Amino acid sequence: MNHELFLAIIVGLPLLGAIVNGFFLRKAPRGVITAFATAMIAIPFVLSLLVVTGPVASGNAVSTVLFNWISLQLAGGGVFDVPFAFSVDRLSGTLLLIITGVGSLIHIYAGEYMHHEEGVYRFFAYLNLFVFSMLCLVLGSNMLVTFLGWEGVGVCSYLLIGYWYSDEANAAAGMKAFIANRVGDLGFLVAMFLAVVLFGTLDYTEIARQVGGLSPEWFTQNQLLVTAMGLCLLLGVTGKSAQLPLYVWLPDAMAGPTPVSALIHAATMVTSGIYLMTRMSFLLVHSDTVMLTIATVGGVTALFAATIGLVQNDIKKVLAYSTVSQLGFMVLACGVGAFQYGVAHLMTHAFFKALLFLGAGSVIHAMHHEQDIRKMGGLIKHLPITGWTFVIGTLAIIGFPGLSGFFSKDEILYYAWSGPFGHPAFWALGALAAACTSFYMVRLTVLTFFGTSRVDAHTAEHLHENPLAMTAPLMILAVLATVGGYVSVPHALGHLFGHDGDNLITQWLAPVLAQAKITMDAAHPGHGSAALEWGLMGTSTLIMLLMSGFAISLYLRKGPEGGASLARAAGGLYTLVLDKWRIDELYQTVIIVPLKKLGDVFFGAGDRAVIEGVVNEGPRGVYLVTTVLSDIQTGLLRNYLKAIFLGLLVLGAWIIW
Amino acid sequence: MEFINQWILTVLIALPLVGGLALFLLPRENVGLARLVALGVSIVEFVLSLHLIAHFVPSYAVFQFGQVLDWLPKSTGVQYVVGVDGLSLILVILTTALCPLVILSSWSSIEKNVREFLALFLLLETAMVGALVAIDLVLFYVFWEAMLIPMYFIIGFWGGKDRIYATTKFFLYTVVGSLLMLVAFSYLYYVHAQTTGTYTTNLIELYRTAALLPLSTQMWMFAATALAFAIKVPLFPFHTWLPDAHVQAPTPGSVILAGVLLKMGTYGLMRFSIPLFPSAATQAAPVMITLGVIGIIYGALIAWRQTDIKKLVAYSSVSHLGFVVAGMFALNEQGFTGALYQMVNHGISTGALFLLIGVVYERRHTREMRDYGGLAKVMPWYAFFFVVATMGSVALPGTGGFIGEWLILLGTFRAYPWLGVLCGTGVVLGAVYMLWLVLKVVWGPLENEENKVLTDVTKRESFILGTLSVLIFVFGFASAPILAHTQATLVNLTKSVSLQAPYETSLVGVGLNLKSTVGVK
Repeated sequence: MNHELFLAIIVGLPLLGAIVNGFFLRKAPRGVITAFATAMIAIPFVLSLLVVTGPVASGNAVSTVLFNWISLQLAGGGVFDVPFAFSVDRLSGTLLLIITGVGSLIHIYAGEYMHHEEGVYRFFAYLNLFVFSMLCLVLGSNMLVTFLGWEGVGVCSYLLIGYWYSDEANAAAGMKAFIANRVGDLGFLVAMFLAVVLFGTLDYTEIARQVGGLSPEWFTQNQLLVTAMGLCLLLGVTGKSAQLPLYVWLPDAMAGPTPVSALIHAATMVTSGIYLMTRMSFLLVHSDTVMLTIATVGGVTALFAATIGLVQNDIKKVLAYSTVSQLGFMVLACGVGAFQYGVAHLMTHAFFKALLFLGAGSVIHAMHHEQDIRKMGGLIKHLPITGWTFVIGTLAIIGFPGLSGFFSKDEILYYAWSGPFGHPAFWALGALAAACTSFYMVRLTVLTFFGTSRVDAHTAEHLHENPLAMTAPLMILAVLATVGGYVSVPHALGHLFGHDGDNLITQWLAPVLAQAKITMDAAHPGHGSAALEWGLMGTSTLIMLLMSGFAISLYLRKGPEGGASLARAAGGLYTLVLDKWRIDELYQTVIIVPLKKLGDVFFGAGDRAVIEGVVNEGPRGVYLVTTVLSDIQTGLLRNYLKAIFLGLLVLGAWIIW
Repeated sequence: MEFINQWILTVLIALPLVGGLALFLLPRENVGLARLVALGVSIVEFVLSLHLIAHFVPSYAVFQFGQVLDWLPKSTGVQYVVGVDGLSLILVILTTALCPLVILSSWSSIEKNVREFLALFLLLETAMVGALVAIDLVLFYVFWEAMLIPMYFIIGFWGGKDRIYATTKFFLYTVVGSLLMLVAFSYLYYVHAQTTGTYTTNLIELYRTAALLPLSTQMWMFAATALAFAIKVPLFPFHTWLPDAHVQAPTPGSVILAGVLLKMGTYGLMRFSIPLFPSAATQAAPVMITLGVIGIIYGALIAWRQTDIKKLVAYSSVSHLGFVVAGMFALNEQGFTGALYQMVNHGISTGALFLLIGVVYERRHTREMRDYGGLAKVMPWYAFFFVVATMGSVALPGTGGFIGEWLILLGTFRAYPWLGVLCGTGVVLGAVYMLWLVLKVVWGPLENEENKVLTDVTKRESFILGTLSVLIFVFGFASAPILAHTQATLVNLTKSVSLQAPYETSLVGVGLNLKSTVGVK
């Protein structure tokens, strides 16, 4: 079998889908559009399975060069080439399966969810284009192809957030996402330039090869540049993976249709940063500054976003802040040197968060676009499949023992303490964030699905479970959210599952992370132990049970009013958190308004007063020609001819002389 | 074939002029016929220009398709010398490709004195092509000035309300620059004669002597020529003529102004200022890059605050051309290549934006942002083209703008890392003002009653916009084969500048037969 060809088809079909849907199926029946768009993702999923379980699993990366994208001769001889090439190894293979697999489910779901919308061809064209970009991002064999995907997913996100563009708020949210991402992209750009300066190439394998062969002296000499490159990459990550300080776009991105939130803003695009850091792990680990900054950004974001999630009343907003927080966990994992658990959590999160978002979508669909959980309650009676799968998603995310989040999150917490760059403080940030997670997720589930119904009579009449096209993806994702975590069983529990050594994810990603591991083992041996692992596992389970129980006790009987007394007690702090710590307002005041004023000053004072003043009103005779020229302003043709004659005169005189 | 290769450039120069004059033989009232003839001439011109691509030898850094004819008395040393190298080839094609599209766009935007307009426009094409292929200073100067005349009338006669003010300003600025350039050229002519004993205005000869001048002299000469070209670019702080000219110009005028005329400034810098005075260029590079960076940020922030959509795009040009100037003064392969590539890409995407503004201006006769909004609802194809042009303008990967901007940033970063990073802020700011424009014009609620009855783009408009949209992506992916044509020349330029040695090149008669060198002794 020609796996290189498969690779090209995997990337090509979603693009084809976008083009055909966008240009040729504008007037086609909905069913055709949906089926076609879904097939363009499902076929690549099948091919991906073949490629990943075949050559990739047996340790061979599959690569294909499509054409030469940039080819530049250098004055000193030699050529600077950037091929448009794809390659898949175990890391990109993992993401490939998530993107096409979860992507297919969400396409099926979306076909039903969007069935009453006009012009769905546009929606599916964007969605296919998104998958294409996402595949370029993870399959690109050099940083430039990844960057094509990196910005491409940004554009698709922009278009999909603003899908219902007639409401300017939606379109503005899309714009905000694009611009916040662009700030991060600037970091990616500079990182690429540093790669060219340091290594003369953008090819991942080649950079890794070079880094592997460099002496410690080289790293001492170039520490500044290596650190700068790591921090620039991190800036890119904070943009795409919605970390502090650039996370502000993600909550607003909930303006898009809910399947978009599930696919782009939970399962795939926002995890690009984790992919990138894992991909570049061999370089990042050479700078302690970089690793500690990554871990700090991740840990603080995890906690910060979780606090906001505690008090939100919009079902999607809670999930949005939850996503920011969970991404923080993944970034934290990378920062402490446990890249494989960043990827493991990426995967389990893709399952349970896609499930939760699609569940929320199912609720919103049934509730006729109502998103306020204060107006819900008791929905499990009407939406049993949605409700119970949502409960599974919640148990998974809060880390209920045995479900996927338990394994992936506990490994992150353990390594946050004991990993190569771990520190008890990082564990504390993570544990606090996990405590908040248990509270806000249980609060969300209880207020939405349990207790007494607060649904208004009109909506209640029409409440019913959604069709199979929507519930089937929920059930599949619920299964995955349950079992997905067994790839990252803690070492201490390993014997229960028949592997005493490394767990599955560590084994699977070992080739990808080998180089980083050698570097980290040399400088920063971890300091974990089975006792610590057991202890932390027990602690977090206890925290989870306590916080969940607390949330149930507050909200199950009393509904939204349950938290009122707590809110009153917190006073101003509660309002501050409810207002999302007023970060948007801060950016508005500190960055956007001053820049706007600066633009006005440049225009009014700079262009209009100073430059125009000098030119229009400045002392005549500053220029040799001013007197002649000012005459021209009185008449039109006559004076123009005068100037031409003058020019000819000068020219003539010059030639004759 | 020998014969064609020898005459092709002269034909490309003469054809539009002849076509323009021929328009006056047509009956005055038959506007449609004049339009068809003008379009036909420009299409033939484009097709002929493809001959250059077909027979250009990319691996040689020399002027090809050379032709030398006597013009003024021999003793003056002034000759008619034309040729194309990697620098001018791509710009000639840009010019000949844009002109038919612009003429097509004038079918609805120009309604009075159509014949005169078309004749002037074809004259402009002659001047533009001539300026790009001239290798003699006097010949270049003639074409350079000749570009001014039609543009002056196009703005002054077919322009908007304040057209006289705008066109006078445009004229004054350019003339001041031209005079400085003339002084510098005259001095070069004089110095060359003094050192070698022969009078010549042949650029290839002058390259050899100018680079050897003492640095202080070079600095003055560089300053004079660079100022002339910087005004045309326009580089901050010489840019204030541009917004007025753009806003007042009729749509075809704006398109050709942004598409080609501004590039004459950046072309001039790369053709004359840098290779003639490599030592001075090296000295001045930080200043020029800094001006470029100021232009990028300054232009972007002002663009963001405009409520006149045409002015917004005009200021975006100030910002974009800041990139081009910054890139070329990185004085390395990436910078030069990026700058040249970006000249073309800016021509395509900004040209498309001015056309898009023209489309709604013709329907609504307003350029105010608040009069629009929600156009995607009634004009879906218009919205599509608008978004594509925007993505080209913000240099999204996959569009040509990305390759150009990326190479520029890489080149600048290699030369001056911090200035490179500052240039990079333009990537963010560019997204700010462009997406703001899209938000206010294309997205949002469709509230204005007059907008609810707007019709989507016509077939003619779709053809123009569709062609440009395709080009935006073609340049985004086919960059390697396109850049292959520019490489040899730009590598040669980089070498000359880095060694601060004279720029060595020659003129060859026939692309494929490099032995038949003509003209230059």
